[in-house]
Amino acid sequence: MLLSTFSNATADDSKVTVDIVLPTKNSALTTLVKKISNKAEFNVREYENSLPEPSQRGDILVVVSDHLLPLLDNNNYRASIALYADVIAYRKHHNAKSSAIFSGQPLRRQLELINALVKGSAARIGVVFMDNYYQEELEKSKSNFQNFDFITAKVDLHNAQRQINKAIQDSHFLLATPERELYNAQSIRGILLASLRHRSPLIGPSESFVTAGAVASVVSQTEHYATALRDMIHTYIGTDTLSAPHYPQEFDVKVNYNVAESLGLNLPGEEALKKFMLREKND
Amino acid sequence: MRKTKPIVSSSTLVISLALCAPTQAELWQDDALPVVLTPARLKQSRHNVPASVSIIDRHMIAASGIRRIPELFRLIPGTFVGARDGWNHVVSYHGTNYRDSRRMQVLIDGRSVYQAGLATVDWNDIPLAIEDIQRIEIVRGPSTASYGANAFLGVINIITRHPDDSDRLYVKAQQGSGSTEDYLLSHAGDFEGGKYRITAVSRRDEGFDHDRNGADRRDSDNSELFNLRYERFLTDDVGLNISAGYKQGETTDDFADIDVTAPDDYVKDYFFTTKLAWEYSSEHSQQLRVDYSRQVQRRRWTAQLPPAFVNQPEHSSPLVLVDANEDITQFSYDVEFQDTLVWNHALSTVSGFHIRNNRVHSETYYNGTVSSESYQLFANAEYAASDRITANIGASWERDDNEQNHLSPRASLHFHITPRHSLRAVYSEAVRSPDLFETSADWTYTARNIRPREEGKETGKFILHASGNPNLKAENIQSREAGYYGNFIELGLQWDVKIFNDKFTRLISDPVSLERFNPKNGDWLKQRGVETEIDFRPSPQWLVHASYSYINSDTSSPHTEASFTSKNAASALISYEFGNNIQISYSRYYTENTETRNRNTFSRSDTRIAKQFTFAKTDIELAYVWYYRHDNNSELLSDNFYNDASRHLVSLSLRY
Repeated sequence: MLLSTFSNATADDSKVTVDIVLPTKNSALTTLVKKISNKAEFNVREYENSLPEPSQRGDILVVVSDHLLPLLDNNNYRASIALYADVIAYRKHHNAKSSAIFSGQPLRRQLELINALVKGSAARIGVVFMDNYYQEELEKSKSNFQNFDFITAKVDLHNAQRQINKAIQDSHFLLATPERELYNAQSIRGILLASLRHRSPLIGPSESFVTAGAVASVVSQTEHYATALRDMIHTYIGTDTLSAPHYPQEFDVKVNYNVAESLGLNLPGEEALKKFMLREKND
Repeated sequence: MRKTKPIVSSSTLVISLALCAPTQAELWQDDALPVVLTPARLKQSRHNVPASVSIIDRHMIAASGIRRIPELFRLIPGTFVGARDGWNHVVSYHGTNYRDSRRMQVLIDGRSVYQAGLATVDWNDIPLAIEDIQRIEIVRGPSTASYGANAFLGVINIITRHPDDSDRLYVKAQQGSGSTEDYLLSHAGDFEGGKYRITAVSRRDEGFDHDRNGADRRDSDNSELFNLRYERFLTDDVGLNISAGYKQGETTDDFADIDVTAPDDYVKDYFFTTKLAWEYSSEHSQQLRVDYSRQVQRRRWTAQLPPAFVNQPEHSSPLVLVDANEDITQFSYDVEFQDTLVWNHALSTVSGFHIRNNRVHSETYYNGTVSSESYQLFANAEYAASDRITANIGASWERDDNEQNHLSPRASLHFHITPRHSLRAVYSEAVRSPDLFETSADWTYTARNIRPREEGKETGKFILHASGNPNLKAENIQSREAGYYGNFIELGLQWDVKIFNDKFTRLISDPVSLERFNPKNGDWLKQRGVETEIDFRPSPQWLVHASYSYINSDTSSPHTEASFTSKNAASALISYEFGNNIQISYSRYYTENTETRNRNTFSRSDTRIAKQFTFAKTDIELAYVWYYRHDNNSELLSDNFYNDASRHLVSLSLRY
């Protein structure tokens, strides 16, 4: 079902057409689409939950959320992009004509945040994961954080809670991966209460967890995703090549200052932390 | 009231409200998370706590190699620990009277373990394994305003491990000098939507080796204990906690001159606690707890003495055998309600009430049954006047069994030099209501089964008798404190300094003994000094904790009120974890002679080496502890000696 068509004025047949498929219709997602299409050098058509008829299809497909990842398979588009896709879920649907802008944050960026919180001093970081992807991501990042040592545990669902609690007890910070099987509405209460008991702050995986009681997280906002998608589409239009899947380059820092104070952390402002991260990265 | 919506595992987006600039959380699906760490649930920052607070955490407990809980408090500045027998310890902040721990409040997960019937804290009878302790918070200073009447010198709050944090299976065995032999089995799991931990312990040792004359001591301990903790959320906003414990054991005691059989103790303790905590909103929470405990002590023996001593002067035999007892049964229950309200960013309050009932039955100590009740209202407000200044003001009002009313106020002012460095000034007043033993004792021994048997002369009362003083007033303390707390987070260093000036009045100082039992509010004490504590953890491998205290005592009763206060005392714990899972720890304890007693310096070094390895998903630890006594003084009392300066302990534990 075609929901709407966006371009600077009316659809321009000479421009590339991007079909964006949303999993539902709400004003927030509409705002996202508007940000993507604002002054864009391409036409944008918005659909809900399914692809247009083959004869109606444009040049580039954008699907939003993991829910719609199957639409990447065999769709006859010149290129397909998954927006806000989980890195693990996307792997199953990746093909030569597709790319992605991942939801969540790379572990390295969250580690940069922890480094900013402790101002480069030593700390023990606990990381519990289900998918080996996070072990590999962590291994790649370790050399950049000589002041950290890591306690890692690969878990399955039946022992996840106890292993996460063990990591909380044995480390100064628990770094949450974006794995929803581990960190979700059912598990968050036990994890955050353990974090409070042991004064071992939870970092990540998202802004909602910060609201719930995690101390801090790196987050990418709607405009960051819109920018990342526009850049990827522009690159494709200019080079006929899709960029490799990646996380949004831009980010903000979110801190729960009430929790931080209770855990004995007196933290600088969110902007100051972000500046510290960017400065350390550039150094 | 907050409601938590179930989250859908994949990325099904929720319907968001229209927003001009939607945030990530609003746009995507994970805004269905409950707010868990609400302002009402969060704890007061250490920078704003209206007292000096020390922490002993699990890492320190493990690294110290300490086997018995009370000995841990040697790590805390200004806190004195002594052993009356191998199993019978006394712990007191700033010392004062060594006889009993009657001026300290000791809580296990918020439950008081103070025994009003004998006016003491019996550390040996607490059904708790040291391995089940998560952390201990020691409030160094009068805290009646928050914790009630026995928080006179301070509060020891022992927090046990949450079932969620416990290993599914934990087994430990250890053996050491003095026939020390301990076994522990602990299991944690799920039950009816909640989590439980259950621990069983067997513990035995032979205590000290000899007395001042070289004779063997009889002060062994042989105990079994059981402990249960269950946690469950009944709804998103209502949590239930149930704890229970049971301990049974036998301790031996030395023969007195007249004793024919051993005056050994057989004890059965149990307790039951339930707590409900609920949140009305993220800013408003309440909790209600009910505690019940019972202790049954059986101590029966046979003595030989002249019949006139048991009021049978007409008995024909010059010496008679009699059966005596010190049996005592104690009950207590507590009901406490607490309300926590965050009014706004600057103001929060904690208030509530506490009702306590004690009942004790003993033929020997009370000639029957006596009971007491006390009622307490308490409130504390924290107000942040600015980023630089925080104030606390609190008070408790208590009405005791003698219908005396006590108001114990406390006020503090914190000046934050920076967010991590603060100065504090604290003024507090506190009371210790006289306990049942001091007010209501009716103490003498009933001699039964007098033999050789003569008609009409089978029983008698011991000629010595002691009575409590029902007119006793509460002891009083006025405490003034100035302090600094700094958290050098980049260095991993926390530093606390406290300067204090405490004035005690109406002290009940006389020792609790049958020969000299004359409780009265006759004494005063002034203590001035300084204490400091450093916790330094520059990297995860290092743990350094050090403390020092200097206390100057001036008192009307030096032989009692200064008998457990050393002018200088210090401790240090240093631990390092090597990369090959070997941890080496060294701790050093030093307590100077008290001025009124001789040769009671305590000077000991403990060295612990532990190796951990993993086999078949099981974490295994092998540890050795060497306790080396640098002096050959008796410990606390004059008959507490070990044969050797060195003592040893080896342990093996498995965690799955």
